[in-house]
Amino acid sequence: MSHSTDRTLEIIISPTGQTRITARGYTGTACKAATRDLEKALGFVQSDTPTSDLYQSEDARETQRERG
Amino acid sequence: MSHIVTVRTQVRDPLALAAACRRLGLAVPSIGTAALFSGSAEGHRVQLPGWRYPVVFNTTTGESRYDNYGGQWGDPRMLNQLLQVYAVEKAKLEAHRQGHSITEQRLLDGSIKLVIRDSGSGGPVKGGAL
Repeated sequence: MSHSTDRTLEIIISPTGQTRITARGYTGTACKAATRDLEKALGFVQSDTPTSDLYQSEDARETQRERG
Repeated sequence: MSHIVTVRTQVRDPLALAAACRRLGLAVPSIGTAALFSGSAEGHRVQLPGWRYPVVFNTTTGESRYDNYGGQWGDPRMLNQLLQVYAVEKAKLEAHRQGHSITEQRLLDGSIKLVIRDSGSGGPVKGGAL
């Protein structure tokens, strides 16, 4: 059973300290909930953009898994 | 479905700030009042290399105070680097607190990438010093 390990948060922190969080593998309200704690912990939200890149995300995760 | 959130870093966790300072080879922050060119500020004082005055973080409000005279009294890249590493350490602390594993990777453009894997409730903590 590996369904839980398919849910990831990718965090890119720029050299200026700005953070971009991408939630992948979550469905419904769990997606927002997944990043909420991190958002609060790191600072204040500047933007929040929904995406529909499900298939690209799947590809990226497969690639990452192969490397890992 | 996913979503992308952009967050502006605010320093609110003294533990993560201390961890960031250690990682950058800086002295651990001291708490107190610092004299700046324009007045003074109270909070967690960090002395950055080459900076004339310390940077003072108020971890209650998330605000920071400093006088670097547009870069002439201190390279702003040093402060940016501290904020970057603070965010890394804070994210790692948060991930560990929730029992998730985390990996870290430095990217070519100087960014740092973290990947947190949701191990579900009660999952083992696999992350650590990276």
